[in-house]
Amino acid sequence: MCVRCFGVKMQRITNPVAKPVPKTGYYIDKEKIKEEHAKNESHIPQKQGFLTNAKVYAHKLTNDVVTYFPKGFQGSKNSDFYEYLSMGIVPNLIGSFMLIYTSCGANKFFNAQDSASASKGAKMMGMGVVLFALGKWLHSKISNFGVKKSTDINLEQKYINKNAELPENGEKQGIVREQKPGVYDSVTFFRDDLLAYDGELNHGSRYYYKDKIAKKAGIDKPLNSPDQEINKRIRGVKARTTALQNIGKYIVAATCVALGSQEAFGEINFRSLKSIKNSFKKGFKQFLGEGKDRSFIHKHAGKALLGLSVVSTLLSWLIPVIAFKQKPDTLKTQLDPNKETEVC
Amino acid sequence: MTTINPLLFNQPMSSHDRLYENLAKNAHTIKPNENKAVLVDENIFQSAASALKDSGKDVYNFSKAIKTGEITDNNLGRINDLGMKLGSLLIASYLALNSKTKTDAAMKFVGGGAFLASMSLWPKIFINTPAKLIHGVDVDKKYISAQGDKKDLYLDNQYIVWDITGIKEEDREKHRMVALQNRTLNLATVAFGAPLMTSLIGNVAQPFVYNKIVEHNYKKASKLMKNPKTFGEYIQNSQSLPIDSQSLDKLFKSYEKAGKSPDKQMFEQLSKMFNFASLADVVKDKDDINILKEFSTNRVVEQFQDLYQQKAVVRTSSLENILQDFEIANDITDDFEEAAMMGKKARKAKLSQQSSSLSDDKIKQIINDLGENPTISKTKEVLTEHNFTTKQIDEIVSNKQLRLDSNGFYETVKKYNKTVFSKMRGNIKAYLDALNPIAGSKYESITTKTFNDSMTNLIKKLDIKYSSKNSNNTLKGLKDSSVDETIEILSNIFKNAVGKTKTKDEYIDLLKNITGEPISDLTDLIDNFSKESYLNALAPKKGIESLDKAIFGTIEPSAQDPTKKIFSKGGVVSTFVNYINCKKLDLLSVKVKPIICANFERRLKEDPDFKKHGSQLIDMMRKIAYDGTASLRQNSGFTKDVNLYQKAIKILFDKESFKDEEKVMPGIRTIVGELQEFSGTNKENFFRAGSFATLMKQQATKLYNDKSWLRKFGKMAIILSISTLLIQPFFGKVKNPDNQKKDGGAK
Repeated sequence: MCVRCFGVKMQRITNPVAKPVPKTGYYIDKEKIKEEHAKNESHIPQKQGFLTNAKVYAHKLTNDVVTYFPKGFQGSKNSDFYEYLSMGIVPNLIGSFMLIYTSCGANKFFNAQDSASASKGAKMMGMGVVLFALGKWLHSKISNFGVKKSTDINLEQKYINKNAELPENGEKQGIVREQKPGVYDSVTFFRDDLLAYDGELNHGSRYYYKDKIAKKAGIDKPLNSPDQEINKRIRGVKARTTALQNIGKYIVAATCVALGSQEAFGEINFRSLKSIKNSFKKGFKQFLGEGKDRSFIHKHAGKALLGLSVVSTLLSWLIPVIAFKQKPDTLKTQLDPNKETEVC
Repeated sequence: MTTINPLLFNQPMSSHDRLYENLAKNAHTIKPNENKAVLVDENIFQSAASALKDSGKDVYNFSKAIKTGEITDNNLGRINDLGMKLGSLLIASYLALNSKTKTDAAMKFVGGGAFLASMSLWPKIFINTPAKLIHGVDVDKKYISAQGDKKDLYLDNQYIVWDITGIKEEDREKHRMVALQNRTLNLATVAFGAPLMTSLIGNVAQPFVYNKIVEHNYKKASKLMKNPKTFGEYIQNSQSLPIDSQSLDKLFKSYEKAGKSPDKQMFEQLSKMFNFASLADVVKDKDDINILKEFSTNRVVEQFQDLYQQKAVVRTSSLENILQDFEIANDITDDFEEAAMMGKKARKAKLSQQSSSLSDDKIKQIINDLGENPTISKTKEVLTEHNFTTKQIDEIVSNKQLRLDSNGFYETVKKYNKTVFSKMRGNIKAYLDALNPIAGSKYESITTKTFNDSMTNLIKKLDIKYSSKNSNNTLKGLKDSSVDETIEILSNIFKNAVGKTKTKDEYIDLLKNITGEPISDLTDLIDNFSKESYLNALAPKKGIESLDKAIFGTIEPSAQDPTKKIFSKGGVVSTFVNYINCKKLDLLSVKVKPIICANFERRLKEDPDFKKHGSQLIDMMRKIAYDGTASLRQNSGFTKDVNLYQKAIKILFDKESFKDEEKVMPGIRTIVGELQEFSGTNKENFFRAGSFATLMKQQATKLYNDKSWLRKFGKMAIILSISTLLIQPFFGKVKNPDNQKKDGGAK
């Protein structure tokens, strides 16, 4: 058969080359192994994107109501720490709602003028609550994004944990539940093993992730055993970033609450987009000091808070990265048998 | 275990086998290492102290994490709590900065602290204590791990360090279950409980904080007004507030550029600038601005004119020119054309020919007498001495060719601004700062608090209920009423209350209850502000006396009655004295009005002659007693029938009918007697505080709203607490308790 390719006559090869014979003595179906592994073992899922965190949050919330709270109330021995932390989402949500509700829940008793001013206060409080959550989320997002770009450590990486439970209530076998924790949730016990296995299965080398991190750290020659050197750096990044985020996210949240308490938000009408835009514009101007003439501090407090949030966000990006990129005098490429390790 | 080969029974054992055999024989004596973890055993005070210490450790761990990157997971989680506290502090500080009253600002911190506290108080009171009492399980037990971190014992359901607790094995399953169930209950209910607890704590704390702030203001003022000396010192040490010198400069420069000398327009502008009403830009307080509006300094225009005469310097050369041309102009009017053709010297010659006008010598004498840099007033003096008439002097002085140097005047005015006037402004501001926390209408002034407390006391003592299906005489009824309905409701309430009293003594007791605490201390304190000995501290000490007097106002003894003082209207003293009198009257009227209403109802009930007045008259009297605003005069009831109105006033405020009330409030007959002469001028002040009905309606609305909120959310809190307590006995039901292992052994 002849084919036209850029006007030049080409001839298709009709006899394909034979497939290379595997070196081992038996046939490995890698795809099947991957499939079974994904079904039964804890693993890092391939597809992780922008919506992963939202999906994990939704997964936790649904399971809270359906599974975790009932297990907790029954006193089940299968209720573990992951479930306890997931249950912590619920008071966060309900509490925010309650703070707004207590400001305006009694409105039906008040006459028009009092009701209006109570609604105004409730609107400002509502904006404050919403912006509080937004501020915390924004700070963490920006900080993690920066750290990921500079060190190739995705601190938000999630994995699927197959939790095999003990049998309950006279059953023979326990249920296997799916949990979605983060790879780097713990500082001392981050899931090194999953990263290695994932690297081996999907990218060809157990040290795939560690080599990428080493490259970002500025280590030129390939390390024989990256674990020793890189694990220390990963723990350092995680510890510093989380410590700084745990303080910084509340500073950003405080700034957002301060923004939400401006008078302009007392008149916001949530049904009209134009009203929302106007309120934000006016609110921002008031936040930066317009109409506040009582004293110097009064006028510039908003700007100070804004500056503090920006500084804290930048610091929670820069400090871990700087510490990450520090090079020691001698780079250990071999495992050190004399190094002491702590047994907990 | 060693494998024993039967064929090798009699073989000697190798050292390795011997060791192994030894180990196997003694295995049951080998124990694991002692657990380095320790239980924490503290009482309330120790735990409060160690909470502070732990916060300090958190900061240390935070800095260690940044420096070395090493930290345990538990401590990393505790940094989150530290951040939350910091965030709450920032939020509370910012919101307090933006709040309008001191009470609001203080409550932000109280609310923040209450929120953080109730997150741990709610489980402590409603979950941990019942669990301890019913099941004997301390759900909140803490221990210090081998790494040195303080942790909850039951934090992780699958990893509980049982060794250190001393809990027997058969009980462990129950303890674990109770702890898990209670911690889950906490997560389910704390989101409802903590905000409710915070709001209720805030509700209780707010009046307390408010009272403390008002008391503080009152104590400060009492100390200040102890005697005129301390008040004088306070005023002396106050800051000066000059008006913006740039505006003065601009005004003067505009005149210099245009080549004009100061005229009446400039004096009027200056008088506006040197009016104390300009302080309104500095004070920003509604009470203060209302007082400042009463100041007027229109009479000051003349003083500035006089000052100008005294300070502006006449250029003697130009005066000479004018004097030389002076008399001639008068004579030449006959022969205008001829005069126009004449030159200067010819005119002079004709003058010296025709009239006994100024000779050169005379002019030189005048110039000599004037001396150097004569002011306008000096010029006028000298000219008067040289027998010029007033008309001639005015003509000379207003001659456009007269060159004046106004710099002296400008400098004096600017200096006056910087020294005397700025001090006067500062004094007045200091006076207002001391006065208005006591007598102003501010939320935190003791006057406002007295109004509100009196109304609240009245509502309580008159037994007005929250709401009722049968009648409208409730807080709800007052809240929803229009003005006429309010009068009707109040009248019913007073009628019921007075009707319940059978004897005179009971009636007097009722009156004593509803008037509440006496306010003589407060009115005396306010009175001090208007005494002459205190107001003297405000007067300017050294300056330009006429200008000072004009701006500040004067206190003169009356020509008719020398013991009485007359204050210049719009001046400082008269404005303040008027304000103080109004405030005193406002306060007094709040106490007097309920007595008048009760007296009206009692007379209606007991006095047979009273009922004989027609219903129209009685209605009008009722309106005057309960509403009684000055606007009632513009009310159609008044304008329609003035006679009826006057009659109503005469009967309602009949001195003789208030004999019993004298026991409750001595002096009320005098007040009532004055009201009887109600002709509309200063008696109108009796009705100034706002109508009694409106004040009652406002306070009733506030109480109703507060109670409604409390009913709704208090109910919610009670339901939540009771259901939390009721679930507790259902916890801890261990399945198959007999299966719990009783003896030890590796598990």
